Amino acid sequence: MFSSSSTMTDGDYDYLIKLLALGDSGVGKTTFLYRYTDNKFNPKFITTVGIDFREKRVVYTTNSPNGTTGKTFKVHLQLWDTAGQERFRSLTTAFFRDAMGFLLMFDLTSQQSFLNVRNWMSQLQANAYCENPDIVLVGNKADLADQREVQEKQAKELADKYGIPYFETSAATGSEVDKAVVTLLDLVMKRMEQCVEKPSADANTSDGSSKLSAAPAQQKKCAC
Amino acid sequence: MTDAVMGTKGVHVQSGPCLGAELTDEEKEIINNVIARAEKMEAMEQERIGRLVNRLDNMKKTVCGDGVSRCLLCGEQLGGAGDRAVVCEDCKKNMCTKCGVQTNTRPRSVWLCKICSEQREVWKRSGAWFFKGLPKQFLPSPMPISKPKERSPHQTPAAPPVTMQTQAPVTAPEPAVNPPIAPKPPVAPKPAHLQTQSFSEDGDPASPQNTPVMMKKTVNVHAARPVSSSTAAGLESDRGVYPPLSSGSADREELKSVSPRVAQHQNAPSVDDDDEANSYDSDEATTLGSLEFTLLYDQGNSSLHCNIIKAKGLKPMDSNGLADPYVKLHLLPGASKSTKLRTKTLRNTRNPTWNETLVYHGLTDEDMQRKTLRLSVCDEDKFGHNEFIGETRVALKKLKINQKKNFNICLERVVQTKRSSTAGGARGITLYEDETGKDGSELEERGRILISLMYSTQLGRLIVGVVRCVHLAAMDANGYSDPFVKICLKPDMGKKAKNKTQIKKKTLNPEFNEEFSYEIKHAELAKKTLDISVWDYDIGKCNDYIGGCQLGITAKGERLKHWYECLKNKDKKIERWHTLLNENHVSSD
Repeated sequence: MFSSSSTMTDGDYDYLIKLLALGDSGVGKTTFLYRYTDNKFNPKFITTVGIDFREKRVVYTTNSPNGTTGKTFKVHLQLWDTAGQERFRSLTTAFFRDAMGFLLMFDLTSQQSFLNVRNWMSQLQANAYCENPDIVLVGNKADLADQREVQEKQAKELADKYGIPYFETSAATGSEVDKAVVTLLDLVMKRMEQCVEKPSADANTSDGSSKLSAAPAQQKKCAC
Repeated sequence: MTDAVMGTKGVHVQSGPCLGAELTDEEKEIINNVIARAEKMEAMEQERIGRLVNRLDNMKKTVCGDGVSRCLLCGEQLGGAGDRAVVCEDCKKNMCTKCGVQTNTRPRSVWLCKICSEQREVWKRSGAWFFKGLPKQFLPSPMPISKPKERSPHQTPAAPPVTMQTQAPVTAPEPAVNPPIAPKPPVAPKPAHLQTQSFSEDGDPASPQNTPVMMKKTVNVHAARPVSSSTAAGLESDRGVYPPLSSGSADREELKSVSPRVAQHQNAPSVDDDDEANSYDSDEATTLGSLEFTLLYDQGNSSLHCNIIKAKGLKPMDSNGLADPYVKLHLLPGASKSTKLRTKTLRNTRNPTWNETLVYHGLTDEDMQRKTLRLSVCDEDKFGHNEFIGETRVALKKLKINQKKNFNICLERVVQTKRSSTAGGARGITLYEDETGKDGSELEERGRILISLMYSTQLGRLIVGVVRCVHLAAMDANGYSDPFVKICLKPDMGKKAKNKTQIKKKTLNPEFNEEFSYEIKHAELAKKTLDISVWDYDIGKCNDYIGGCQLGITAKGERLKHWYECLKNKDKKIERWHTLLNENHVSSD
């Protein structure tokens, strides 16, 4: 088991954000998070026992409306890794409640894992802190082009149906890994701002990005 | 960070049984290790939140103005002569532009005082926006002891497990706490609470390094939020790890008061269910309706007169919400078909009035002691089977002789499995096999017969009159019989001893009115037995035996009485009713 570096032990950060990765067993949740936190790839498959988490300190910069660089904050990410096997289901779903955002992962070389995305969405709606949590859909193992079974068009259609962003990543090459996590973090930070400012009756604070503009509309349904 | 395996803790024990059936001990160890790491992270987080709250409290203490004519924060005069006043979006107090913070959110920029701006930051950074409040209670006492040791990775002191145990149970009930809490404005209620707390606190501004003071203030701040803090405090008091403070006791009582309410709420539905069940039963009983009738036993004529007057509130049996009712009568025990009487059917009514008298003939005093009259109300359907509505029963011994008695009884739902009779079923050899099988079983009544006896001294003959039969058992498929009666004076006197009546077609209540005579001395009559049997005539087949009886000195009951009276009263005609039984009988045809 990997231990965090000593720099993680201090409390010198502005926000603690907890994210959780879920999906079928073997889609690459653990290797994805390992790539993100340590920028390394472990090709060997070791099934996760129940639950685990990794940590990473990142710098988050807000974009002010006038285009200038906003304030920077230090964010301590707590990245929870769940076992996809059925026998750990009751344990892992208990941790859904504490997660502020979710990485819903499937394997681009496994049609079955893509079909099970719907089941995982149901699990999320039943166990997360609210019915429409922030989710990013991740199709992993994009480097295995010759073994691909799920076409990008199919996955995008499913993501659009749920109104969530979609990324095709590769834990082996590191492609799009950072972008997927940063997008999810951005969604969570925006929701946080809206929850705190809600008493002032501000309108939605959507950015220019069309992908992100859908999220605020959905966030209004959240019972914050 | 140390990877040492932590001991089993409260949460682990709780989760163990749930997953124990599936997980191995090694797997549980791994999971517990991860949870322990998370708890360390949580402890650090709580310390950080404490510092944030502490800083916010300090800012509130520096308030100088009243927020109306003087700046809330610096106290400078506002208005024409002074600085331009702006209003805080959250607390609605006036302040100068130097002490305010302008946020550039669309569609318009808003001003916040520095306190409210800081308040929002605390909400964001502590995760309160996510948990709908500051969910965790941070206790001061363990930190000074365990904090230094916790930072030495090479040791596994006893204190950290205690700390972990402190945090672990608080985490588990968190999901249960959050859902009931309604979403509340994150800013509005908080300033009042915090302001109250800040006024109650005295002392120098605490530096971040002043751990005990900071911890103390953190506790006070949390106490201001009754819902989450009471739950957390109650849980901690229940664990018995720390002696309950006075506020802890209060929280504990509050926690206990909630439980009975929940339990009471859970009990309510079952009570309602019971009420509904009772109501349903009551309705069904009431719906069957009631039946009004009179009964009169005419002993002289051995007849029972049943006057069916009316019924009320019958259960609707048809799709139009009405019924087509009629009443059936049976005498129990006995062959149901042979004792069946029936009223007319009245159409489309649930409150029929029949005013119809049905008469049972041939009922003896003995019958009145043994028999029960059953009255069944049924619905007639033209295209389907008639349907049972309800019934009632009257023990005939309740009736007094020659006195009319009125009844108005509620109908009941008594559906008995009818004993399968041989009527229309067994015939020919099957009939005899059935009767052979009934050896030792109770005899079945097959109707009754009216016999007259008279010994004529002038003629020196016994005159036997076969008057009629009633309620014979049905032996044919059409529900009737073709009965005739055979009589024989035994011991056998040859052919002359046997006599037969005519055959009456298709009836269960034949009228014969025939007399037969036997030439015999009166002195010899006492040794004789008169054998009477009733048969169902079948063309081309063996006749079906319906029932029979014997009159003689060895007979019993009514039959003995009749025979004895004949011997004693010469030249006097004596009529008596006799019950026909399905005794084994050898076919003489």
